[in-house]
Amino acid sequence: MDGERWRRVETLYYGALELDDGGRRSYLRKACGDDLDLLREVESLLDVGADADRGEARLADLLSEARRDQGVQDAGDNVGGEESTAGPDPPRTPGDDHRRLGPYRLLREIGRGGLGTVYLAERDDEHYSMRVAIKLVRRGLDTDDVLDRLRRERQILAQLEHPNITRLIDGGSTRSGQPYLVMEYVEGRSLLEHADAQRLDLRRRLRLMIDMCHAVDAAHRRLIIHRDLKPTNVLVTADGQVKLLDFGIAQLLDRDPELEATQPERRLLTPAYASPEQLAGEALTTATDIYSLGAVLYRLLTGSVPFPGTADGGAPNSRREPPVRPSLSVADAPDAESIASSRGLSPAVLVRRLRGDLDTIGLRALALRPEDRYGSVTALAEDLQRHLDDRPILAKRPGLGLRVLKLVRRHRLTAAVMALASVGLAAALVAVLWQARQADRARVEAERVSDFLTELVEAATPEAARGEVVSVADILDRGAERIEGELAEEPQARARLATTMGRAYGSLGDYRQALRLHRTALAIRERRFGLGSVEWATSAHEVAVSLINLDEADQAHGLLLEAEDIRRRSAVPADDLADTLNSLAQIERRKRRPKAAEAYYLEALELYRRAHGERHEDVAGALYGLGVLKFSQGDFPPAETYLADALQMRTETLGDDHPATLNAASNLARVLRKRGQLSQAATLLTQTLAIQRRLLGDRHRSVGAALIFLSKIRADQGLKAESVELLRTAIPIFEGAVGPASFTVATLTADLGELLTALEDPETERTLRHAVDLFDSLPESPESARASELLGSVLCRRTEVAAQAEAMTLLQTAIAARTRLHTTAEDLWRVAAAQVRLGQCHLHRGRSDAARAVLEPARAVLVERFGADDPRVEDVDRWLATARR
Amino acid sequence: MTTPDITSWLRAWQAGDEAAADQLMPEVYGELRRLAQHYMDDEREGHTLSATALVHEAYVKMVGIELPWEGRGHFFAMAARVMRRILIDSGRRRLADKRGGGDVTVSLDGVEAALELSTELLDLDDALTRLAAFDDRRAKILEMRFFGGLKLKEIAAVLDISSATVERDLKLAKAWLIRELGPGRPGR
Repeated sequence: MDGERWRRVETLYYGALELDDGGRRSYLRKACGDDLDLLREVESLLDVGADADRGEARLADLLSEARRDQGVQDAGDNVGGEESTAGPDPPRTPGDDHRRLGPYRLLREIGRGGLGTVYLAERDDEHYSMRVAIKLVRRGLDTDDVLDRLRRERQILAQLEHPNITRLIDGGSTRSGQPYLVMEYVEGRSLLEHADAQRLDLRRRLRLMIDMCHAVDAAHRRLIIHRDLKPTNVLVTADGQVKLLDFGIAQLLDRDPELEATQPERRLLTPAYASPEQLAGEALTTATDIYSLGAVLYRLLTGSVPFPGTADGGAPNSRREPPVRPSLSVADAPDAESIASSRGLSPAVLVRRLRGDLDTIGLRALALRPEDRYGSVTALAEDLQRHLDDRPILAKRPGLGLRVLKLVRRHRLTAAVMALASVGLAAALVAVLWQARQADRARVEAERVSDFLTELVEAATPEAARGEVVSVADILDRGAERIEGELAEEPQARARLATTMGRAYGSLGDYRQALRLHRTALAIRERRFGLGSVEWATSAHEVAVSLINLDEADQAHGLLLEAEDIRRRSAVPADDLADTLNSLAQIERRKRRPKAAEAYYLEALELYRRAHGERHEDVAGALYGLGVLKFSQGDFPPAETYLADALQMRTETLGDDHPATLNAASNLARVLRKRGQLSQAATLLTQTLAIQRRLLGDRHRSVGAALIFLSKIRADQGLKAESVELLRTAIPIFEGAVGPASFTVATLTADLGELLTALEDPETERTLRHAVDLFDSLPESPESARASELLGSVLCRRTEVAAQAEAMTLLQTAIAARTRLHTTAEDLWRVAAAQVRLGQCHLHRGRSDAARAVLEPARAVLVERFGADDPRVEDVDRWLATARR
Repeated sequence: MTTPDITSWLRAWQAGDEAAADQLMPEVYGELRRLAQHYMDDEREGHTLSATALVHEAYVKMVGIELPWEGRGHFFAMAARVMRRILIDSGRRRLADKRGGGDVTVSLDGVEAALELSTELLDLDDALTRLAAFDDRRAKILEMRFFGGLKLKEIAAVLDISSATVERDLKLAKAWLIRELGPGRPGR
């Protein structure tokens, strides 16, 4: 638009503004004449009309948001507001009747804390009026991160409905972006005020404590930690009802690592009631709330906090020893008289009442190390109740269960379970917990699961005391039972736990249990979210993965296709969809549809790359799948490329000792062997083997498998002696792992015997005889026939008549077995090959006719199958020639 | 830069020398950022600071005297220009970052919100630039109004026109801007 035209627009615009609607129309038509563009231009500007003011307000918001991002704060009232006199903005006091937040009118300030200021407010609309407490979050805490978290977690907190917890009703942010939370308003006194003013006796104080415990437990079951439990956060209403304030809020706002790193003093905690791990700034679990409850209990009983020096925040580092026993604390108190009298007792009686159970309960809850405290808030409540009921309390000196608990909590599970079960199980469980820890939200979940497992370990203590071995699998089994039972009334928590534990089982290789748990979660989510929901797809995916691992690919396929469909349609993270595609690729690979498999893998690969960049373990996973696919198609060059990429990437991202890395290494070695690069394959495998030995010990089954594979490569290389050595090392591993009379051991022993035969080793006969003996107790199989054949051939070369007779029997047995086993035309040659051995034996014994009678029909079968030029046929021809001589 | 420099540059800019703005810009920019940071660190409860108050403090710090009425307006106009540049540059940067996938830790919602904010900012900036091509005065008024938070009287002083004229000009300027930003955007 040029200046002149714009001036015409201007004139017409202001001219039209002076007129009413009808006048405008005729005025503009007349003035614009044929120039319809001009008419449209002016009319569209006039059309904006009242919208201009709304648009302006919206722009003002936009700019104040942008300024806030820049760290420039803005009252947000200078744009589009009323003209005001120059000078500072009038102070906005909460008492100001115009002060509103959304639908709430602020009435007065009722408190201030580390988080900000709390106002009493009122919501008025046509239907009802309600009093609420509004917490306006302090400036400086309103970083993007915090705001984002507020939005997400508000929904979680909103689910926290419990009669003893003040409800989070609403939340939002002011026009200038300051966040606020709207809470249920409770009229009451703080816990200590109430207890002392009412001169509550010990029993009534303990009942208040138990109510608090139930409330905290309800939150823990929803994976919410309070983190700032203290008497002033507990209100008691006039009719004696306990109400906990600010649940989950400290946690919600106190997870800004930058804030903690730069301004540790801003951490939201009250030193006198904060757990040692909290003071140390370590990761928190539900155990931190148990400590704080212990501190509140201590104060409620004795009138003082456990570490009085820290009441005003002093020297928290002095907490290296447990606090003074509650009873002693009262006995030593200068104001013991008044403390006791506000509980309706004399000092001596108060001390006596505290001594024993209450000392034990208090100290157990206040244990310095989280692992030494009660395993759950319920356990604390239970002991308090037992004390009230004059039943024996359960708290005692820390025993085995507690020690294991500690290790679970500290994520050094490996060490614990080494003592209990095998390394593989432990590593798998740790991996799952660790993975769960990756995501912020999932962290609490992992803690909950970890606590849960801990309780299970505790429950297993009686068996441990009897000297029985408690395995992780046992522990998980108890957990699975409890998920079905205890959490029945909390479906969502149950679904989450079932999912997490299902993954744990999956990593442990117990796919049946995994499947059961994932199916539980699937059913819950189907009811809760519906069939086409993203949540349903998550569980459907997990169920399918378990099915694939159980070789039930057909059942898995349908679920995966539905999950794929849902995940493609919804805004799930790219890697979630990729996971599903990856599983679909596995199915297609197993169904021998390599084209479809490859397409899925390539798309998954692309999505993983988009989600995580070029080098990531998931990218490596897809490359690995492609490598294995190409390998199974016999397309070795690309298989080598994919697997080499996958191996390198996994080494970088997971480390050289991760099971997935080792898998990639051994499969790459397989490809290298197929490509005839034997020495490279051997080198790679030797490295892998060294890592596996370091990681798993010399006697692990995976080490055995690697030894066998390396033995085969050495045999290919012609290094038969080395090959024998490797096999001799491998066999005892499998004797230990699967039993000495197992099929695996028998087969390996036969392999060893075959190698020894070629070396003409004196141990040959003994070894093969051992193999045949082992197979005797096993069902007939091609392997058992092979062992008989090998031993038969060896015995036949001996000169003793008895040996030769035994050889004949063995070979005839093998032929009979093979005749039964190989019934298809394709496999008939295997019977023929056994007959050739028998023919050889006849020749050894100088029975040419008998040899010819067997060799001739066998030759015909071999020619039929392999052609006359086959080396096997040539061998037969040579022996036939001897027989005919 | 010394105080006499600042006042003379201000005067030059007032007289229509756009190059003077470039001389002033870094100085004002730095001061505004420092002040903003200062107030971020302030722990006073419920403390809010308007853009105008911020600019006022920046001037006092830089020039060392309370602003005279006319000088104040000009300085505010300057600050409005600076503020626009700060916000637009950061919006542009963020847009580039997010589209380039530079940041993976931000949740999807966060990214989208940031993108939306940045896009709207850039649209606003574009519109103002287009407007300036055929109506410089209205573009300046909008800039001072939105980015500088200037009152009508202050805008009037900067442009040496009456407040009533500013108000009148603003009417069409706002209508034009809101229409340009479209129904799906701020006019919604």
